[in-house]
Amino acid sequence: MATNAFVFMEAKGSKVHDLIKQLENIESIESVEIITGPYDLIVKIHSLSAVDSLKLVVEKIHGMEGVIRTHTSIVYDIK
Amino acid sequence: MTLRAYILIEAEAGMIPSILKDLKNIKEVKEAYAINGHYDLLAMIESDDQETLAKITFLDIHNIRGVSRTTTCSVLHPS
Repeated sequence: MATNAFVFMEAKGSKVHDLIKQLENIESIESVEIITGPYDLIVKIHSLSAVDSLKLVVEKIHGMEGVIRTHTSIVYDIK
Repeated sequence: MTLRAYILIEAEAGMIPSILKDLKNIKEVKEAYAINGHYDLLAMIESDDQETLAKITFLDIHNIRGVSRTTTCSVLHPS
């Protein structure tokens, strides 16, 4: 079942703009926004499953230069 | 220019479904999700001015029954 997830990301300041470009090139990433508060970026993922979202975070996003820490939240389907 | 913010919400146990309904009744709340992880709900709000955004958080969202804590993340340069 298709799933939405949000990744709250802490990033190294000098790498933020390069990171945004890389993230925006990934097909299942719907949006990337710079935010204030405890995190630097909020990334919205739309993928086929929660497992696919987590794979994207662990296998691709964690390998990108400038990523310090991520916090992934899967969206529950509550009506 | 439209201003946008993400409100990360911590909820009292058992209150997530009713909070989600209440959030969706607020005109400026454009998206609302129940999520897993450190926070329980995520609301995206939009307004033309900063004062309205603050009021939605301090008055509307903080007054929803079951909301225990919020963290506001303003979006820089919303698209």
